[in-house]
Amino acid sequence: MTSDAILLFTVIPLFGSFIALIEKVIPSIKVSKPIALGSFFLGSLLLGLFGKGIYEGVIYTTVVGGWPLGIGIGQQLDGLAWVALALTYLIYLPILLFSFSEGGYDSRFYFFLLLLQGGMAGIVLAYDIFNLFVFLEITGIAAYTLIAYQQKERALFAGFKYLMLSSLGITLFLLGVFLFYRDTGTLQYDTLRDWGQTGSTLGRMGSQFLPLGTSFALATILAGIGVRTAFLPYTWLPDAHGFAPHPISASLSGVVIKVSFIVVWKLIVLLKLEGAREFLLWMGSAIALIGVLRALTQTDVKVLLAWHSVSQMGYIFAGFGAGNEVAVTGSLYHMVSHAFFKALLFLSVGTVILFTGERTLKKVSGMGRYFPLLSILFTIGALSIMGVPPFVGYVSKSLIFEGIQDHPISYWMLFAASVGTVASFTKLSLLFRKSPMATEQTIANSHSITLNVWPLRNGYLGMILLAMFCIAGGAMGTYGIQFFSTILVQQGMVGSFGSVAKPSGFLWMRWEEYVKTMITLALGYGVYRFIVSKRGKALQEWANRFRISFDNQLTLLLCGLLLLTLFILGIKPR
Amino acid sequence: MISLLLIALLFIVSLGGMIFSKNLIRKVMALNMLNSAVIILFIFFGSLKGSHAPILVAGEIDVVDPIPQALMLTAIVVGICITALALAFIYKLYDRYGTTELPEIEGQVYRDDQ
Repeated sequence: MTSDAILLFTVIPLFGSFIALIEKVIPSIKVSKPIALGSFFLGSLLLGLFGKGIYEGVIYTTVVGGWPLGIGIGQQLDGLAWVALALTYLIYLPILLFSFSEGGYDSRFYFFLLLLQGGMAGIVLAYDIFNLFVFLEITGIAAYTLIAYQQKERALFAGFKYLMLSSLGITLFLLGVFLFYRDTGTLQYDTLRDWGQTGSTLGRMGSQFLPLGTSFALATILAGIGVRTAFLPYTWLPDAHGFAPHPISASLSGVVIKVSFIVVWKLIVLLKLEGAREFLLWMGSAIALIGVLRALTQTDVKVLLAWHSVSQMGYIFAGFGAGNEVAVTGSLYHMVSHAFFKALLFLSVGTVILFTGERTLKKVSGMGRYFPLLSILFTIGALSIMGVPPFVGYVSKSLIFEGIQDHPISYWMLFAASVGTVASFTKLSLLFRKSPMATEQTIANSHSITLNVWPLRNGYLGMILLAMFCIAGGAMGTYGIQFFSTILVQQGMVGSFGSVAKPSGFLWMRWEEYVKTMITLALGYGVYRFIVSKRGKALQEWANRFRISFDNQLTLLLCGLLLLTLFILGIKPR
Repeated sequence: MISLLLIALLFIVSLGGMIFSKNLIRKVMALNMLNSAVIILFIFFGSLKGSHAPILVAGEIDVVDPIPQALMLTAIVVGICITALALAFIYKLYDRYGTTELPEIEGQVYRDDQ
């Protein structure tokens, strides 16, 4: 494959989105759905063609319009970018099938969906910081609009909050771009890599102290992306992901937040920002726990799932932050596995909401006997997120736990988060099984539901696909680990921490893993019994009174920026 | 120096406006100002070296750095899109909640959850 072809990853969806818009002008030309599906097939075909080269460690670089690198817009496809692109396409197909069968989406929806797809491709392929800014904004605009697509009150408010927070973030990012350009006179990634290695202008990384201005510039850049990735205020995420249309929730939680993390990953590794890495370790462990604790108090099923996205992203950050080969491979693996099971969970829970019109556990439960297939699919997703073998979550979580052992505090925080995850999904499974929480009204509601499963057959196809990914990702874990660690090590994307032994032969033989899973499950069930008890409910009511107002979320972003600056400067807890 | 101070002032004032004003439209305007502050900073820095417009004419020397200007042209366009989208959101929010005051909307959201 020639390097120039990587431009097609951005061009196909963007071009397709404008064709889809023709249907808006001339409604008789039904192009939006075929073009949405067509760009999936073209994109994944292209991805397949690059796959072999990527596995052999080739990095494809090209410049738009044949300008020399440094003047033209550079694009680069490396291993991380390939994985991220593959992920976007794997999640895109089920989402598309679900949207087709759910119905009620017009050409504008597919326009924005394709725009989102093109924007994400642009983010992972971008080769300079300013190009990154442009594609972050394209992705952002598509995401805000899609969240509020059905124009319901909460979704509008959630979209607005997301817009304001990430616009503030992106303005800070632009400030960082300015400071960076002033100090270095360039915006390219490969010049960044040179600084990281030769130790010239920016080379005083690592153990020594960086100048304040440079630290601040790097912190603003990371913070600007961090809002999108939800490690600096994660507070927008539950509302935005919880109230979006169901396929969009799946897409946002599945891929959109991860794509921007790929950029954070690249920047931290290229610049050798060990301070920022440590920040991610602490922040990740913290939000893994906070996300689960908040999820336990929710009764709105989709908001509950969205809080779990916060929590699972915490695992990913912590795994990356721990910095050794096992944990970092686990982090990348968890990005993939979280995309699979969270998209599956959002779609299956979304189906129940579609049929019942209710979205809180107070009003609907025990749906399992109406949706036998759906409850199996949901169970696969739930077992994956709990980390039960042989599903995909087990592989990635064990890798992260294996790698993070050097940091006992983070280890136990993540362990507590795992216990909470089990408890909270036992609670969510009330949606499908008989419930002690059910009131008479719930049961009356449940009886009045008309069964009409047929129109969703495409949606089921998508969910079955995702469930198969969950099983395959777990069953073929050894190959997956080998693939990801090869890609990461070959292209130097692990980082400068010393690497530990490769995770060989660890998965299925070790009885400790099984014992640990059993303990987690047992503890989780205990916590579940507590939260459905009377005292637990009172505690939930009390906890739900604490909310972070929007103004405070903006302030939190600035506080997070300061903290990140301090970490990059090298002032941090020892 | 005085220009830099003014830009810093604009930046801090609009940051304060974003956080402390309770009206959504004011918040969006503050965001717009914040964006402008960064853009002015960029352009100001670009104009420090050289004195002529960076237009390709034979024999032109001593031009200013063209990259900040090219970048900011893009940033301005993006900024306008974001502002327009945010205002459209506020219009729809006003439709649903009957107010553009943030505390009132948050209060209604809180009551919905109970």
